Amino acid sequence: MQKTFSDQEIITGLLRGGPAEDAALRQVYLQNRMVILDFVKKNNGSEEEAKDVFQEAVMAFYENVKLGKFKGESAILSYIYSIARFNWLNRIKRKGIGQKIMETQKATDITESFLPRFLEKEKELQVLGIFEKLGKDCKKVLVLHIYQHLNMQEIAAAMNYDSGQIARNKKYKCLKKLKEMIVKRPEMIGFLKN
Amino acid sequence: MNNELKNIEKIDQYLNGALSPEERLAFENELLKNEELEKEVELVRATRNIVAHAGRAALKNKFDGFEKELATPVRRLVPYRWMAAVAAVLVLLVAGVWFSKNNSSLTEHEQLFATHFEIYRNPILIRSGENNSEKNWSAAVHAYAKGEYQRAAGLFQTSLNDSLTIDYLAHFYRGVSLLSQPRPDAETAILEFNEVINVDNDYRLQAMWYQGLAFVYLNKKTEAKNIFENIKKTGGYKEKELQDLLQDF
Repeated sequence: MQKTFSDQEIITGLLRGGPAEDAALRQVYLQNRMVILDFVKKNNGSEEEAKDVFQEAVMAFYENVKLGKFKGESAILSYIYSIARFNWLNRIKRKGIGQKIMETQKATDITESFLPRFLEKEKELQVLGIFEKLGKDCKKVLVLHIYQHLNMQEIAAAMNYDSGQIARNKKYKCLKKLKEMIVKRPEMIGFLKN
Repeated sequence: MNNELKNIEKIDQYLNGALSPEERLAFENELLKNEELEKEVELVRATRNIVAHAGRAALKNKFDGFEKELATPVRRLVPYRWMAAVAAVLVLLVAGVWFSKNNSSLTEHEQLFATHFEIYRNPILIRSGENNSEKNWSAAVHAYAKGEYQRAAGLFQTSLNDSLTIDYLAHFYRGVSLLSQPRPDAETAILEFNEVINVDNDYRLQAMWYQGLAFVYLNKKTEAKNIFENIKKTGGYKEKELQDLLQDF
């Protein structure tokens, strides 16, 4: 039996992390998928393109919840729809298709983030290759801190560390290790500037 | 190391947009003058970007998992009506076991517990296929539906490691399973229900009800009464039964 969460419960679950986050994310994904896929496909998108646009929109939604930029001011579906619509219209423009879809909404406020732009496949693989060289705990601590924005106490709880200070020291050592790896790959700094 | 750590934290705050306008201005002025610091900021930014890409890749994997899930047909564990009948028989069976085994030796509080205790309805939907993210949860639900409560209690505990398990549901069903055994483990069940009651969810009243019954079983009437009165104050749940129970006290 799967419980249906309210929008506010979804946001709380995403901020809490762990199994609560997974359950919330699953609902967001499964509940909103059809609407966005329909929109893209009705506007000349393929199934694959529709899925890409939807996944990018859910990712942006997730990141903005984590950054505290989306707190439930509007319905989650409207929010994801705005992002997906904005992204799809941009893609159409880039493809040069003369669609008569009028863009009425600026989505700059919901798409801008400190996070990097998506990379080309090859560069993405290089980046992930470097990250994979870190130890399991290091990878987890860094993702919890930098991508999921958990504080040191929350990281300590997730990692079973005795205190936030231990989490802080671990994060510091792991960042240092990763920095040392990048220094040896100066070409990467260029495309990771954002 | 302390200075280096402070430096990294400052850069972290700068890149997170967490500095005050004054601090940000001072930091940016320093950046213009200090080439070393500028290089360090670039390096930290690149480091953070690598982590963000890795975080996104992990999120994308989750999305792909949901896509696979959608492609997997969903089936019921057993047909719903059939299962409802099985559940009803099980309730009668457990009650029967209680009364036939203990009829002569049941204490007053055990009798009260047996009168009011019912097995909570099954979690009815299970996804078929090899979905590791809810493997233990599925096994626990199977065991619960088959009336193997001791096994179910263990599996609900293990299911907390599954990524898709909803924690409070696992605690709730573990608690009910512990109370459904021929020899209820009421002490542990009380702790499990605490895990449900202490977080915001739709099972709080049910958990309070079963926790109250667990206290009844242990003959801790004051604790039980407090809980039942709290449920009554909230209202809307087992109102008639609560009235009867409180009268029995």
